[in-house]
Amino acid sequence: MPKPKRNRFVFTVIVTFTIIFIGFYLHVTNGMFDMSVVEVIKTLFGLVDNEKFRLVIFELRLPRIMIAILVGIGLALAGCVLQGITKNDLADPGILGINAGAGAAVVFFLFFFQFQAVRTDGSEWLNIMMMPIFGLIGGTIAAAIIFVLSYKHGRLDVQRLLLTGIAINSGFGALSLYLSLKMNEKDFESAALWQAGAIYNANWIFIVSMLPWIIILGIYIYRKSYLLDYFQLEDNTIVSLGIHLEKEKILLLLASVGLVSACVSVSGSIGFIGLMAPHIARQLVGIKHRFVVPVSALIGAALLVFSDFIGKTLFAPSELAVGIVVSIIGIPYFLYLLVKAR
Amino acid sequence: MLTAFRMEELTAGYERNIIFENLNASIEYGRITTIIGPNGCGKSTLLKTMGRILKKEKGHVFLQEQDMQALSTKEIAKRLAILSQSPSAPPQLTVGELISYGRYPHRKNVNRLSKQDREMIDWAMEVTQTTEFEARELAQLSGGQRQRVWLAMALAQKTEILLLDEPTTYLDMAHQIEVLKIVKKLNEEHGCTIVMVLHDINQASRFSDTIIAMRSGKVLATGTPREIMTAPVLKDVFQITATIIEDEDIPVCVSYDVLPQE
Repeated sequence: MPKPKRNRFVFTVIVTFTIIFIGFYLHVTNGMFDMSVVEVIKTLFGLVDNEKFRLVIFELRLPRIMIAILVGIGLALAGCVLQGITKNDLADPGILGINAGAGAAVVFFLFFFQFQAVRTDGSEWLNIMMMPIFGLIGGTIAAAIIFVLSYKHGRLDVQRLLLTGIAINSGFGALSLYLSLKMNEKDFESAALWQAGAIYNANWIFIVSMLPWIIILGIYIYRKSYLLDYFQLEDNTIVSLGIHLEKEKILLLLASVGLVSACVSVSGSIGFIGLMAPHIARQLVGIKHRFVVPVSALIGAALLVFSDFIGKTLFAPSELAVGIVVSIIGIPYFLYLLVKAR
Repeated sequence: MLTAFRMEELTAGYERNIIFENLNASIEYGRITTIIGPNGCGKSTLLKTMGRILKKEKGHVFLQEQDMQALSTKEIAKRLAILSQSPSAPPQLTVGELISYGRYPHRKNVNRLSKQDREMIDWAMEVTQTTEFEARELAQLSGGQRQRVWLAMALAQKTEILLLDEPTTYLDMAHQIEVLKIVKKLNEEHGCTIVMVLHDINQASRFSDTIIAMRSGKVLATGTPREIMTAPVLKDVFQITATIIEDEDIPVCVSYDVLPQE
């Protein structure tokens, strides 16, 4: 590997880490009431005996930031893989309707099982841990429909892919809406909020439920990142090199659906991270996926931490769901890419 | 006769559009075989089916007398490399990186090139005279240089058999001959079996040991250039009236006309 590229990668990683850290700092010190750095650090290490501080840091702010980081990583990785296997820079789990599929399955789950059982007994844990699995089923169904419909003459047709994605998106969106309208008022409100992509109700159980997905699938995708380099070639060439194209594509697709489902089950549908993060990463470190994959993950995390911070503070004391903030940034970016792609 | 390929009752096509049916043919090991024929005759389809980048509908392809169906795609990639017609890659990719992709079927660690990988890449660049471009990006190359780089990638795969789908398309006359001379050298000096599709029958005549002439999904004739480059065969295959002369023992078609419409 040429030295300059590696150096550039290391530099980018350091810078993005710093940005995430700044976001973390802003997020953890600002809010309903501001805290000084010293107070935050003392609370983190249990050196201060202030119940209010402890509550704010450990029960509210920390889990929220953690969720933002994990969801950012998950969606960015999923976007990276989807863009790789579809050979299309505009692919994004949100645009392709995988978010909506996973979302509909989670609403379905909430509707039938969850809300009878939201009490602080043992079943709450089980329910929350079950949510990503339901999301996975819904996301896989959505992905399967999208990919079956967009295959034409044995090839993935990019235009069909985007169009089917849009259709799947509204279809599953309507299903979610229908189900949530049948809920009682209070459940509906939290379901609607969840769907808009809000993470302010984050807690540690959510983190535990999604962490294994992010770690296992993240490592899998990183290990397979070299394949995404080969996927930049034509299918004929890939097959000629002895790569089991369809099998590898399906496995990578499932991995990204898994990531999206874990994210959606926790944070609702947050679009555009999967679109923007890999794109920015490629601008920074080139086209080698061994570099692009980790940098995308970090950029996804940074984007989401900052977006959530903006959502939290911009109209304080009212909160803007992070999904909405991301869309406000993401839509112009998407349009910019569309115009550039012509 | 040792065969590189043997096709038995082979049927292939795209979706419902069958290009050829129950085709039988065989290709000798260690030689240069060129498939010629008019547009849509199925020559590219046959080559793609032999290289398993197109799935066959029915029948068998035997690779060195082994049914290809029984071989994994990676095993096949160690035995044959196929260079598609006008392939594409990201323009920012460097020549060295693209050629190293050819090592895929042999690599144990995907992130590090072994000494043997390195040697094969150097050899492939030397044969195709692309060593000086190693650090350049593909976008900076001319068409002829780029085609040689793709050929180098296929060579880095270090296979005994090389399939080339119109390797001279979009190249000017000098670069066409340059590529074909490399192909010839690979066959003569390194014992590579070459199967290619060419449009230019004079190039096929000059660079092949055997020519397979196809029309409408059928093999009309198989033989040496001298057997194929005759007015009657060319009339059957291309519907032309051709004038053939011999230049240094190689039959050449000097002029031709379309058959008068009846």
